[in-house]
Amino acid sequence: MLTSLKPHHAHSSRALLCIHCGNPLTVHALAQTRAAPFCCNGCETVYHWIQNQGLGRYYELKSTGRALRKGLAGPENSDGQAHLDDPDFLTLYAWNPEGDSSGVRSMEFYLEGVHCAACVWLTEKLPELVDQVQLARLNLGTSIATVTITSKGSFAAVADQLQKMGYRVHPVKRGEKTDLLKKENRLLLIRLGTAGACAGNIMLLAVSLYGGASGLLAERFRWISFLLYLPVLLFSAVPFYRSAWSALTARTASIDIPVVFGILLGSAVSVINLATGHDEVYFDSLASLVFLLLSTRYLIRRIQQSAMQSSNLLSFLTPQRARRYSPVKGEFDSVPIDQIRPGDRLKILAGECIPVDGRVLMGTSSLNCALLSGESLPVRMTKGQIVFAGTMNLEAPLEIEVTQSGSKTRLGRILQSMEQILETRAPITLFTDRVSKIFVVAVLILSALTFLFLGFTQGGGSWHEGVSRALAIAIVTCPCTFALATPLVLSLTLGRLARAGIVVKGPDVLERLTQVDSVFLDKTGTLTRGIPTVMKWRFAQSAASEGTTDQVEIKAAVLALESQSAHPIARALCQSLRAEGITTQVPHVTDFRETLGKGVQGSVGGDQYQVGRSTEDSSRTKSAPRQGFEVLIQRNGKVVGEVRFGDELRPESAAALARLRTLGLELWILSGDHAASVRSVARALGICRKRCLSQMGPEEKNRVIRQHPRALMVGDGANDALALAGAHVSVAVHSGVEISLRAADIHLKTPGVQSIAALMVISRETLRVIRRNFAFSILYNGLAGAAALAGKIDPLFAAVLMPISALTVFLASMAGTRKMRSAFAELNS
Amino acid sequence: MSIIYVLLPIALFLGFGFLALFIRMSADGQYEDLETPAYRILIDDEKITSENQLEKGSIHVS
Repeated sequence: MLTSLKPHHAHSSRALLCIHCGNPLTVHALAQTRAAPFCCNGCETVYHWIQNQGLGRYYELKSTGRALRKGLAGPENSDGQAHLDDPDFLTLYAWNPEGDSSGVRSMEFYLEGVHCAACVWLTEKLPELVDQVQLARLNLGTSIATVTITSKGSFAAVADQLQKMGYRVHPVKRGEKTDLLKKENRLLLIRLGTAGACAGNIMLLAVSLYGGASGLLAERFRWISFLLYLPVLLFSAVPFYRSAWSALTARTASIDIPVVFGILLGSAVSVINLATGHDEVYFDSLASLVFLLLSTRYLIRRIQQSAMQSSNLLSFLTPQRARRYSPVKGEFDSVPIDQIRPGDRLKILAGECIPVDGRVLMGTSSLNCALLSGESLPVRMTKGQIVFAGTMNLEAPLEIEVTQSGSKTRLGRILQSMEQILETRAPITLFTDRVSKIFVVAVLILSALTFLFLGFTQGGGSWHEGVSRALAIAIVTCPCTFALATPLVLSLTLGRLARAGIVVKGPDVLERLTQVDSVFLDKTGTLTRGIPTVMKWRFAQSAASEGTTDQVEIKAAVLALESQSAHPIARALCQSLRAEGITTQVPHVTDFRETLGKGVQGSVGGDQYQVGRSTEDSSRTKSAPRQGFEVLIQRNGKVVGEVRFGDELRPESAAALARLRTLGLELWILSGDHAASVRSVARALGICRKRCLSQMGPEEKNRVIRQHPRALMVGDGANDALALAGAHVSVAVHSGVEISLRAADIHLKTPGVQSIAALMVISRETLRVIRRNFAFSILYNGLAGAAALAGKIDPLFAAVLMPISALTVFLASMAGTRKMRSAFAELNS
Repeated sequence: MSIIYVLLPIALFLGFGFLALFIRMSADGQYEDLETPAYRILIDDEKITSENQLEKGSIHVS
């Protein structure tokens, strides 16, 4: 499964990469004066922390390793992970790896932001960094770290440390379902290994039989082959019996029916021939058939499961603890979220996610509601207004009264109806299945007819001949190319896509993708960045008339002030200013003061500056359409300038949509944001106004999607979850919102929509390769079938023909098509 | 040719010895993670030493 190691600096010819996370640097970040290239403050912090810990080798290792294409989550502001050591929590999440009473416990953590060899090294240094940690193991494929601690150890300390390393840490619940899956996987692998070992040994014996061994030696060889074949028949092939049986009881044709038919009939005939001293034994063909089929099955299973795993690890949306007011103590206590009841009073600090639906009792702050509403810009909340679970408090502490908690919140209800949609979704009959079914029936009929024809027309003496020809037809024609080719092509494509950062949940998704005729795009976070960015500067008359020197002075003063604040808007402002080159002469600030909700002020070079939200903004009603907001700059009490913030379009969106259009797809925007901002995005992207739907709630988005049965939905937020679940095919674009991953069929690990066009091309080409394989199979099977009917096929012929045909299909599948190769090259560049 | 009666059991014994090993390892879950070990081998077991470590003391379990 491993490709060659790709040097990490190979990208550097195109763009400078962040030293820590390896993401390409934006123009903004490039302009900042930093000792080394970082994409954000988060990465810079983590970098220095790692250096201080004496873990600098992380970066050395990193340059040798292949960085997986995943974005690194910045460090999270969190008030510790104390709940990880609650006894209740431990019974659900931790287990004893030894199964004894030593008190040693293990827990699994899903780490967001795991990339490469360096992450393995860093994570596995845990025993040296945290007391009482015995062992830490990281699985790079699943991003799951297993940590074992002694009875005195603390998982909270472990999680804390991992968070300091720059990962987002999510404990993984031990589910019976995943344990069961693990066991099944292991069993399947053992079946596969056994089949391989037996088939190999039988083949060795068969070579000498075909080579002319005769007499007693040949007979003994055949008996040994039979003994070696028994484990294959009785153990390795069991999954085929099971699925053929369930297909029979469900009265559907499955590719496993002729497989089982061939195996059973072939075994019966071979055993009879063995007992009666005939030469025709098919043990070698049958054993290698089982081995080949099991291997493709195992491959597909692995890929599918890794895609499923990444979408099953969620519910990280809302925090697990909250600060609840306790009337007895007269203060706020931290309690687990499931103890919160309606009517409780909670305190939400700035930078925290709101865990429940509620009403604001005290405080004023701005909230990021993008997750639920798709609104790109912060919404101001004050006393009496309703807040929803899953939104983020940005500015100041709020006290809220709980109205709904847990699954009764708006977010919880969206999740539930999403699950319902997913459960009731009708299975789609795939092209590949239809062809296989027709073929299966044809082979069975042909075999039966041959048998009956030979048996009846030529008298009783030909029953033996009839059986062997029918069997030859079943073995030679049947399954190899069909049962092998399609899964092989699909698993190759899915595997390659996964390496390019596109996780596809199942092979059927690719076929559904080819049927898509229209694409519905969410705006916030998908087409745009989803964070406020500086759009425009405006200066008051006085500054404008005095020319650029004064403007530069003002900007320098603003940078000096804002660089002292950690507020998201301050950070965006600093980034933009540094990008402009205002870095050289940053003046000194005295009397710095930051007022929550109002902005910053201080004295710069003798002048009193104040930078903050314009006053009219807070008085503006929530319903007023706005495309952005302004920040006012005041000098000595006089307004000298204004900065406009908006949600910036991703630079690659326009080109990506143009490509989708050339593929013949109809483009729509489906957004929860206000009409004005949707329309300005649509204009920039050249999307027809009729196809711009704004202010759509989660349920409305789903309704629209339902009216377009062949729609591809692309989104990221919880407000898209229902539409993602309801669409013919859906793509979740990389973001912090894992809920959309659960709903979507495809999950992009890179932000933005630029890989969707390549994905469409790849899905179409994959289907073409499958059709090509079918055409080849039908040709080959027709010839082989005719030869078998004529009685020209003996065990040797079957044993040679089968691998040759399988090999041809295999090579053709590996090669793919030219368009497919160039699309993959584009994804990996 | 009678040597074959000695060689064949030996070959089979060897082959199935390895199969038994394979089964044991699969049951242990060794083949579940095929990606990480390839990277892990690049990593030296270098301990964090006293001179390159600055803040180890600060991380303690409370």
